[in-house]
Amino acid sequence: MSQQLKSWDMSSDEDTMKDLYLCFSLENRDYAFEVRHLTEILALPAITTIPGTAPFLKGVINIRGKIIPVMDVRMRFDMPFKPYHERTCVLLVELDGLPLGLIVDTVNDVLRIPSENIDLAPKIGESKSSRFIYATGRVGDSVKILINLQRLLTEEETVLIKDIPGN
Amino acid sequence: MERDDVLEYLLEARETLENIEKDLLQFEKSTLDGSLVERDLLDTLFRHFHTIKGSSGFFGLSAIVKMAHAAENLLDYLRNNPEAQDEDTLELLITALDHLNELVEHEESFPSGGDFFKEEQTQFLKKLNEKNDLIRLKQIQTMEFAESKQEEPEFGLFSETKLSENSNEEFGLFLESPKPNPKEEFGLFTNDSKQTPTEEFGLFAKKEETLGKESLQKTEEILKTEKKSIIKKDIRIDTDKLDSLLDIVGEIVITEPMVTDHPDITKLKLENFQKTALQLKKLIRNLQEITLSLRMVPIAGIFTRMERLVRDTAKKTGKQVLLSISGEDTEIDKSIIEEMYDPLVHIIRNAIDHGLETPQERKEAGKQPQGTIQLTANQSGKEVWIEVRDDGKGLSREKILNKAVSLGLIHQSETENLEDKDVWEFLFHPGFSTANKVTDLSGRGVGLDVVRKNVTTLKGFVDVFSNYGYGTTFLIRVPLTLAIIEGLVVRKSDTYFILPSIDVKESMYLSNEPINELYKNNHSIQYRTNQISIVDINLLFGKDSELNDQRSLKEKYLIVTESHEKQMGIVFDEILGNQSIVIKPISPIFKNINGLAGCTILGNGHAGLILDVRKLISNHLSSVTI
Repeated sequence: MSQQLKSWDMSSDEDTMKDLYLCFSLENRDYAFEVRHLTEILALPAITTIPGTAPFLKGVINIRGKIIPVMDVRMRFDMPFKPYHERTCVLLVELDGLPLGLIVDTVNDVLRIPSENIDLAPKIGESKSSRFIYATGRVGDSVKILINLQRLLTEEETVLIKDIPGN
Repeated sequence: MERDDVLEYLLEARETLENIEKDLLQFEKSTLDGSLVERDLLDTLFRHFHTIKGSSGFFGLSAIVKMAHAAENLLDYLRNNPEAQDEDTLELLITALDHLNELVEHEESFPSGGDFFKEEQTQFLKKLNEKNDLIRLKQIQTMEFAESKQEEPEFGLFSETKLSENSNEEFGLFLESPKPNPKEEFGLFTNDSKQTPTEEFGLFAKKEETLGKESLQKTEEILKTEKKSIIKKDIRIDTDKLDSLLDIVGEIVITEPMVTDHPDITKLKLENFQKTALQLKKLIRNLQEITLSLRMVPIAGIFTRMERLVRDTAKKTGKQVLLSISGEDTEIDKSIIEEMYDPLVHIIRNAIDHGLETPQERKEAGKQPQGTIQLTANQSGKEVWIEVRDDGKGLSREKILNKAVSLGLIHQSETENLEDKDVWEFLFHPGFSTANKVTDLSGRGVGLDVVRKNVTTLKGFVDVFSNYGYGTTFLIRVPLTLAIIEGLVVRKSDTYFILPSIDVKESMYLSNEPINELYKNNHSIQYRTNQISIVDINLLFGKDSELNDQRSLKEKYLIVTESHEKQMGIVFDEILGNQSIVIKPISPIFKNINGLAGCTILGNGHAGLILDVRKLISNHLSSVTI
């Protein structure tokens, strides 16, 4: 486990970005991921739904001439869908060179969480949403749930998509 | 050194190597017919190798430098001793080129600082250097021998050419253009008399010094010629930049009707506005055409690569082949050109291996011993036709039919009624090979089916024609460009879809037509003389069809699409009109999406989804039968 954490740390080569996390909330829970993945924060633009995909892949948006897929993080975490409102945000991230928009309820702030304040998440069962979580970060009295963005796009959803009739 | 710079240079090096290949093949032609290689050609070859050497040295790619340097030495010797040109030297140069290509390729994928990575390469370099040493030795000997009467042979050369070759011609040339000819000759003469002594002495006295001088002289030469060629040659542009230009132009094309036919002004009578709007439309059309043409490159790039292929294949099979190329100026989208390479290689290899007969067989058939392969390209409307025609033995109907029967593709009794055209179709069946034995050229089961698949992904077609005893022709038809298509923009609730105009047969108002519900999710409508299946776009993507609820069908539109002579109607809420659509890929995050060909951005800022009508039709009609 500690090895995994190390490799996660090593890939952040930019010192200024080190230990910086972007925090957002879903259902009053605070989540965070490393800032180096983030490219932009946007108000929610019009989404073109793509038929025949997994429900959490909401479709595509047009960002200045680029077509970027968006994912509803809430639905990815198996939470009930909540209608979008004026504070709904899209966090543009880049994962392995692929741009992706994450739809979240509210964006909070950018925090510095030094690595000594990070504890690897205890393994509590193989619940589906727990596999996106790799650690928790202590910030003062509160705890942020650190998510592994790469895991958002792992193999599992291909199975989901295949299950949809017509594909 | 930045890795990016190296990569960019390697790309450049590849281009130069391609040029070398072209010139070497030219070289081969003159070697084979026994004439001397033109001085110009040797100079160009020398220059190319020299460029490779110089720039690779700059990037520290030592192996490439060594190899190019050795080749350069050999060429330099040939320049002074053209009579020494033979198949051996040619083979050395070609192998050197192959090794250079390998080195460049290797450096691209495994940056290793440019060292040799194969024993073979060092061996070859040794061999090449030995050859150079040998030549040098010989040169020194003859030099010593000739030193006393050095002037004589040179005068001889001069007077010889003047007398034997040019005396008649020269007058003719003289009348036309009095200056260039004498100039050239004097140049050659003075050049020779100046260069040969220093160079030759240099070779065995102080090599480096003279080389430096020489290369200085050469770089000047190179600069001069390169300047000349740069003027008409293209500049390298990042494809990302081109793509964004294409995107913007695409958006302008889409926005233009939204502005000029804006609902706010349609009711007004604005004569002058209409005039300027028309002018704007024309300009935008021009802009679009020019932008599209930026991605277009002449097909010559891959055609010339075929020369080498023909040469090697002919050598392996022991056949005599003449490749005649025409229409190489035809321009086609760069991305398509790259995809065309493999199919062409396959077809041409087949043509030589199976199509053409051996010289002996050809003589017996009353043909010339040398077979011909004609590679032609021409533009026909919005398509480019590429034709590979050989004058070999042609396809044997009987053989193909036997094979088809043995594979169970057709019953013996049906074979009689088949047209030739349908017989040739069997060739495209996976695993179909009439070759008697597997050679290292063909017959491995990777066959024409792959060719067809490649071409079909480009939205193109392959056809074959054959006349038994007289040859076979393959015709490949591909669209000019893939980046922009004409499409019909439609809306279904909040989503905009684009149907490629090619696939659209007709659009009509649905409410007047009676719909037959066969059972749930299966509806049909009378279209002309046929009953065709009609679907809601939801159904195509695996949800229930809205057509089940007949009341909602008022004021909807039906678009009749067609692919492979199969028709299907798709229902939409609104038709926005025909537009030019810039195709963008869909993110790979959406896996297993079958019915979409891509995305685009519409003038209103929405992303539109381009439907892959052919796939939709074949998927739908195989699951539903009427």
